[in-house]
This record gives sequence, C-alpha cells and structure tokens, in this order.
Amino acid sequence: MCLEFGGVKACQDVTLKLEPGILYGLIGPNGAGKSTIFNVLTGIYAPTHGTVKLAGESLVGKKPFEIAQKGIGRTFQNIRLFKDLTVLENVMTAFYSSTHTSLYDQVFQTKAFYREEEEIRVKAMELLKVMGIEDLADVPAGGLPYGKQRKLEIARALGLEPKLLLLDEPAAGLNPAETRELTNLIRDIQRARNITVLLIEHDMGLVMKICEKIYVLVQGQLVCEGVAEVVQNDKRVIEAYLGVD
Amino acid sequence: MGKMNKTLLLFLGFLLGAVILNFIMGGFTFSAALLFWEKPGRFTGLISPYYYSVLILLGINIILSVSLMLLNGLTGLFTMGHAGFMAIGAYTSASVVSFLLPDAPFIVQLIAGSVSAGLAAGLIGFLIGTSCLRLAGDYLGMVTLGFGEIIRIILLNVDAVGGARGMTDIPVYMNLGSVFFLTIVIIIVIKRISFGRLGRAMLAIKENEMAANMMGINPLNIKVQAFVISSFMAGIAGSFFAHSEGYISTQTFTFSKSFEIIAMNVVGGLGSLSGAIMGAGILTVLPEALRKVQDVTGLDIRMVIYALTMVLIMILRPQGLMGNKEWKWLSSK
Repeated sequence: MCLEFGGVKACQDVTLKLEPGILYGLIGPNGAGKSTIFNVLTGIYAPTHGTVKLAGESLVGKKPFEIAQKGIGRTFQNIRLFKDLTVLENVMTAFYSSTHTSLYDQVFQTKAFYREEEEIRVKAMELLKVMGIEDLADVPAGGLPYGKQRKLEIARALGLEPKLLLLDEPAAGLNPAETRELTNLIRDIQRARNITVLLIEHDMGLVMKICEKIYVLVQGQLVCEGVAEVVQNDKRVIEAYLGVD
Repeated sequence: MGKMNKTLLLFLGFLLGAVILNFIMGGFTFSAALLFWEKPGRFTGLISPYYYSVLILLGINIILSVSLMLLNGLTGLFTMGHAGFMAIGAYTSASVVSFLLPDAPFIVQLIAGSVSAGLAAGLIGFLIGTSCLRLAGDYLGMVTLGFGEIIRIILLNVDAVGGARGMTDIPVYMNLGSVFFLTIVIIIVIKRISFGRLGRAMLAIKENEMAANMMGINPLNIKVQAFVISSFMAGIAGSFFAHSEGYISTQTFTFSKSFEIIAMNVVGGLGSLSGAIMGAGILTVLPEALRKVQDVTGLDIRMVIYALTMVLIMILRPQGLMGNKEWKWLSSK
C-alpha cells in the first residue's frame, strides 16, 4: 500500500497483514503516517498504488460509508462525536446501516419502528455499560469530560459490530489512572468480542502491555514488526525514537 | 396496533378540530359549503376576512419555516432558494387546478393541487439535490440562491402562466380549516422524522460528516432525502398560497422571500422545530400588527420597527428565541 500527496510520499510499501482476533499496535514518531494509514483503510484517501483488502475483498474505490458498513469501525485522534446528540443517541447512530425502518414506519410510528428503536436502544445501552458510562446516557455528548468522550467514541464504533476496530490514540489526553483503566477495557472488549483491533498509541506502556503484535512506522515506511520484546530491542526503532549519536 | 390507532386518532382529532375552527372563524354558510365539497360560500365569520387571511398566511409560513428547518437545522444544509420550491408548487398547483379541474369540488381541487405541487417541487428538489449536494457550506447556499432565481425567471417568461403579469383567476378554495389541519400534519411529520433513524442520521451529518461516514451513513443519500422532503413541503405551502390569494406573480418568490424564511428559522433558533414555528409566527404577525401602529401614528415606521425588533432579538438572544430547546409537546416521540 502506498499513498503519495503530490511529491510527498506519505507512506511507501506498507504491508499490514491483520489476522482475525488479534490486537495489533501501530507506533512511530509524529508524522510517520500512522493516521494516514487509518485514513486509507477507511477509504478517506485512496491508495496511490496497492490494495486494501478485508477478508479477501478489495476495498479500493469504495466510499468511506461502504467500508464502514463492511465492518471497519474507527475512532479519531481528535475526538469527533455528535456533540449535540445525547450519549445514547451517539451510539444509536452506529446502528443506522443495520436497521431498516423506512420513512413510512417513522412517520406513522408503526410497530416495526418501535420494535427497532427499542432493540437498538437496548443494544446501545449495553455498549455504554461495557464502557462504564451508562449513567450518562441522556447527557449531550459534548458535555462529557474528555476521558468519557474517548470511551463514548469506542462505544459508538462498537455499535457498527465491526470485524476490525481502528483506535487512533485512544489514551491521548488521559491521566495515568484513566489510561490503565482504558488499557484493560480495550483488551477485555477485544477478547470478549473476538474482533481484530489495530491501535495507534504513543503511550508505550499501553502498547507493550496489550498488543500481541506491533508495527513500527518511520517516515512512511515500516521498519519493524513483531512482539513487544522484538520491537523494544530493534536498533532502527531505537534510532527513530531516540536519534543516533 | 395501539400506536397505529393513536396516529389515526390524532389524525381524526385534528381533522375535526380543523372543521370546528373553520366554522368558528369562517362562519356557517362559508364552512358548510366546504363540508359538502363545494366552493366556499359567502363569508360570515367571527373574524374579518383580513384576519382570516392573516391566519392562513401564518399557516403557510409555518409550513415553509419548518420545512426549511429540516434542511438547515436538522441536516445542516444552508440553502437560500426555498422560495423557488414554493414558486414551483404555487405555479404547478395553480395550473393543474385552473386548467384541468376548474369546476371540481373543493376537496378534489385541494388534493390534486397539493399533491401535484408537492411532487413537482420534490422532483426539482431531487434534481437539485443530486447535482449540488457535493457542495458544502456557503457554496451550496450560493448555488441554491441562483437556482431560486432561475426558477423565478423561467416562470416570468412563460406566457401560459401569465408571464410578468402573473397568474390570475386561480380558484380560491383554501380555508383556515385545511391550512390548520395540514400545517399540524406537516409539523408532526417533521417531528417524527427528527426523532427516528433518519433524524439521527441527519443530525449526525450536520454535527460531523466524517464521523457519520464512519458510522456507515451515506451522507449524499440522507441529504437528498432531506432535500426532497423539504422541497415537497415547500411546494405544498406554495400551493396553499396560490389558492388562498387567487393571484400569484413571480414578484412574490424573489430571494427576499427565501431570506424571510431563513430569518424565521434564525429568530426562532436554528435547529429547533418549536423555534421555526415561533419565528414564523413572529415574522408573520409582527408586520401585520405594525400596520395599526402606522395607522395610529401616521408615520411609515412599520419596517423600521420590524427590522429593529429582529436586530434586538439577535443581539439579546443570538441563539434564537428557543435556542436549541423544544416545547414540551414537540420534545418527545
């Protein structure tokens, strides 16, 4: 997979092979192209060369919402919640593509409308419970404290029932206690739902603790991949992070 | 079953309310004729024909305002061509009724006029929607402004509908009962849309289109739906207008009409259905009420006060009178 903006090669020959049910980490210095990879995976940018495949099916040329429907959920580095909607409604929007009430059902408030609304309300509440923010269900999302907003974004992404969950710096801006809690939460969710997770994170404690395999990206190129110990001892990774004498 | 009955009951209740309202406001002979599907008879109402027509105008403006609210407030699409959709509705309905059904009973004219107006405006809304919705923000505003003017100028040059003279002798069948009833129906429809799956998707797109995409929502699809529903309703409002005035000309549907509808939304509070209704109320009643001031003082200060009021509202409550809030009866499913 490659992506070029004009003459700038944002990422070159990056190959990520994500096996089902494994928690991956993607690390690298600022500007390495980590978020760019997320944007290519979710269809916001089209790769200049190469392919993106989900379970053998090519995603190149698909629209972002189509890719989301196919089962790639994501969160954003700079939180993008629907601020004026309540916490519960935020999660309920994720069920848009898996529900079918028509305009007719909605206007005439048929049985199907009430059944489906109740169904997704219950499912959304369950997700809020998993994230531990169910008591804030009726609060506008914009009014939540930062850490809870991060959790809500994950809950919303889970509403898609994704096969692959992309988390872009889930612990950014959290204090150490919150980070620890979130770390365990991510691992628990990943195991309980048996989904593939790829997370970008600068908090190495978090990454080393829960990621089963780690990719290291430096200036748009993959320099190392492997389990935590391998990555920690790789010369090029140390160089990239600490510089060379 | 229970819920379905509730909708039906609500529907019949408002219908009955509309008939009673018309009997009270429009008088017996006038309303009885409508009940027997004939054209309105002599006006013998409780209120003068002038107030009666102001109330009809109020209903029409509420429909225009809430239909724009669906686009502006719910979906976050800034459009400035709503008068164009109204014009399409008015001219279509006027043509259908006066050319095809000039002698049909009132109820047939009402249904044929409203439905044809809604469909014509909805179709144009669909075409505009599919072609322009890749534009965002101010650009969409500019394009829709241009579109509204194009519609007006085309109509100005079609001799079959009167051209610059306007269209005269349109059957006048609109009455307060029908306007009241259909205004309530349209308010309820928009309220119900806003609380369900579609409404959530619209709000999601308004708040953050990128995140909505990531939730598997197709923004283009939702925006086109919003455009079609909104223009359909604006078309109906146009039809009501044509058949309550009996005369339409392109002078009515200039961009200043579009801005008036936007002003209703802004004064009431963008994104609030209650606000859209309240804004329409204020901006319809205020200029009429100020005529009295003009009569008493003998000074032509009607528009000065009107403009000052709007400026004051915007200074004192920049978020609009209702802000983001809703009246209680509009705030739940």
